[in-house]
Amino acid sequence: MSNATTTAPTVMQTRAVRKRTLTGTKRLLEWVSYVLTALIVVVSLFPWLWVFSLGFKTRMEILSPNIVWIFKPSLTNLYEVMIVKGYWKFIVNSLIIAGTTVGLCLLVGVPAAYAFSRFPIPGKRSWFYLILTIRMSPAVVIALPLYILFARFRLLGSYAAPILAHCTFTLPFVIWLMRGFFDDVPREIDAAAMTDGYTRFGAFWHAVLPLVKSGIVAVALFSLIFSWNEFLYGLLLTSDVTRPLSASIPGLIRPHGTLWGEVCAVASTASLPVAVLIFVLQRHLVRGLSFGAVKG
Amino acid sequence: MKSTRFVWSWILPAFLLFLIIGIIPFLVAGSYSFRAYSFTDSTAKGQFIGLNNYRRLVVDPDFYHSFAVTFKYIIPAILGQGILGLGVALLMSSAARRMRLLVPIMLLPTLLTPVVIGLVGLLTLNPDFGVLGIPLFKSGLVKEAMLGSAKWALPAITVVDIWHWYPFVAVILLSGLLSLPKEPYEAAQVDGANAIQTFLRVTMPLLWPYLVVALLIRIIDAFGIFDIIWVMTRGGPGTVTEAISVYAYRNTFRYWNLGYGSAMVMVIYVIMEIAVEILYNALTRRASAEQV
Repeated sequence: MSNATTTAPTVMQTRAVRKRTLTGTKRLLEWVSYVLTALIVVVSLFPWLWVFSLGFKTRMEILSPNIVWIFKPSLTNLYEVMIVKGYWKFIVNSLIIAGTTVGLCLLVGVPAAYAFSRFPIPGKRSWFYLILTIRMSPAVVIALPLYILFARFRLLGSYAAPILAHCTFTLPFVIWLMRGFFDDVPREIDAAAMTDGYTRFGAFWHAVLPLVKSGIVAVALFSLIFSWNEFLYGLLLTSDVTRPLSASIPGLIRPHGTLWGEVCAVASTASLPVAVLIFVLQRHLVRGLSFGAVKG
Repeated sequence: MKSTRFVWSWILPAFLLFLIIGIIPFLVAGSYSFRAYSFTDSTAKGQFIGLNNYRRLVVDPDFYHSFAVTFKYIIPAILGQGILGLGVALLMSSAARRMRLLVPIMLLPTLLTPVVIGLVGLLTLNPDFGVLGIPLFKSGLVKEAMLGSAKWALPAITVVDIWHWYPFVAVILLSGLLSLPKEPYEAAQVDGANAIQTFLRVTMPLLWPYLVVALLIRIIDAFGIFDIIWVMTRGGPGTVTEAISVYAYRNTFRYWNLGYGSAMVMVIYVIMEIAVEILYNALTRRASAEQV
């Protein structure tokens, strides 16, 4: 009897205690995950922000053996390299190259993607391999054949050379991703538009394209980033007049006496648009990065 | 008949562009690989020399060395990215929902210009003024300039590469985790599986296809690494960090030996294609076997 009366509350008590510790551990785990996530953010951003900051420091502050954490940001480096050394022209080159590349690839890639999504294409598997192979080849493997070809047609040093070279990764990207976006649009939409009297192209243009607009914008912005970031073709196939910004950076790095402030000012300029576009692209990041393999 | 012609009009422009940028250049390189062609040797003007370029390549120790360098970097880099990526994905899938807003911030290194990433590695590790280099040097952990040392240069590049790409693996796995079906977990709970069993028997098999995609893309891209090495070490000191792409670049665009370079390009291309094929088949077969 006495046993029963004493054990009953004990069981309830232990249950209560266990419940309390459970929420305690849960809360602790939540805190741990907050701290870890904060750590990830710091690890991701800190090294870049530090290099970014060098672009706004004086030479003395940069080379100091004790890191200068608090400094008065100066635009001297940016002014020197962009205006005095004329590096602003490389920004224009990057924009010309990236803009034309993306425009060209959308123009020829989007209709092709639509065809891959809607029609039975003869030799679809070979296409698949061709596109994947060109996309996956190391840049050097493509750079040499293109160099030989462009040398023969006297295209080296022109804008056309890096633009065509950048198509080797943008065109597969556009076709692959847009095909996925088109696949998401039900075929009934095309059929309905065509019973309304539209031709196949009219259905594509008036009915389907508006539905994949956000997809096209995402693909275009991604392609812009990839072209803007590209380095090897920009270095090899261009001249001092047509060189894009990314490829202009190594020229500033010398064995001795490199002006790191100016290098970092260029690097900051190169990375800022990308940092902005990441937030614009948020919803499409996973899909774009995984070449459409994962629909995020 | 009309329908095939009609289909072609949609893909013809893309096909022509592929022809110019993909197919013709490879045919040209293929033909150059059987010729002696060099800008620095006036006797090598493009005459046919059969398989000589390939024969030379097979016995070129530097070529094998560059392969060894590439694998010495790829294996730890992919392992690091896989483990870190999986850990971060699991953390973010369990953490409070608003933490996922941080995904774009986490992805910044991945999408940044690779040259800038190389620069970040080069400068942060500088022993005189680098934000990581100074403490590493002062603490005595590293006794020489990392990127100038045979011991540290390649590990340093590998760490930078892991930092560059682990968020990519993480976000793909995260989107995989967030889209997993609920039923297998309920079944596992009914069966009384603990957290580790659930992870190994339920989460991993379901997540496997995502891991395959992420690591496959990483391995293939890592195979052609160039930008970061070029900015950080240019393949040095000596040839310690001379990965395949850097070696091919040096041969073709420093020594201007285009015939030999073409042979190298063709061999790299074939090896890569075989590797892609084997890897893809092996991984997808394993994925489907585990799902049964």
